[in-house]
Amino acid sequence: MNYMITSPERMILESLNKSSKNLKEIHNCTSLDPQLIQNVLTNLLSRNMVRTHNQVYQLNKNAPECYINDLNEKESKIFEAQTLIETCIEQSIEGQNSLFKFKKIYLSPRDKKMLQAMLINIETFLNNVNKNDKASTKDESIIFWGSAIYGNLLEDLVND
Amino acid sequence: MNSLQENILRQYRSKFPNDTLKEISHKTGIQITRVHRIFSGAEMKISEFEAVEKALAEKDESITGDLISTTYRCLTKLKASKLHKILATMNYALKIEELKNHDPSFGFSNIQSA
Repeated sequence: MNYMITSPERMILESLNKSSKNLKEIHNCTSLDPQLIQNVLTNLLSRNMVRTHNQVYQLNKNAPECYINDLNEKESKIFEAQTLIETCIEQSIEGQNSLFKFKKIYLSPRDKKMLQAMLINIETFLNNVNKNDKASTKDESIIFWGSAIYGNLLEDLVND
Repeated sequence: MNSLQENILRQYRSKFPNDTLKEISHKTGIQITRVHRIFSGAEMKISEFEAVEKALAEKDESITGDLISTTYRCLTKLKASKLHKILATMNYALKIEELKNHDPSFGFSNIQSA
């Protein structure tokens, strides 16, 4: 079984990918609990994904390929999306800051084309948003969109 | 408040974060005014300590039982692919919990500079 990289580990790697940081800066950037950060860093150091020098942590650009592969592994990515979306749904239901909308509706071929065009617009907009490496990772927005055919989903769900 | 008491009250709050004083009183059998005093820092008697421990264990037992019986039904009825997903979910939750918890063996003194 491959190493399953968790969302906190991914968040810290993303933060270090913007710039090298000390513990306090990682905490400010991610708002994760300091103990959790320390444990994650210990893990990442032992896997050679991160280096440290004078208490500053930086991504190891020459990390072993097998560990890089873990980051891009399909199951790991599915899990990340799944857990974040699930938490977003829970927060949305509890009336917290997250927003989750979900709709089941029949779309005519014309409606489908219109929706597709709007989704492409969203994607284009997001791809063109200026990258800001100074912004805290914790302040990034998680956005998700997409659509599927109900019957196809159920077929996979039941027969998988 | 001694650390043992602090620890058990923290455990209780973490397992039943939304319990009102009345609910705590109902679960533990400790009088509501006494519950209020305990959570405000009054020292617990041994019997009260045991009552809180029992309330914590009761929840554990019911979840443990459900988990074991459901796991058994899953093992007998589900395909390997579904079992794999469930296992991955459990491992993922476990891993996050382990990362959250303090483990003294995870000392920073062991980390070598690059």
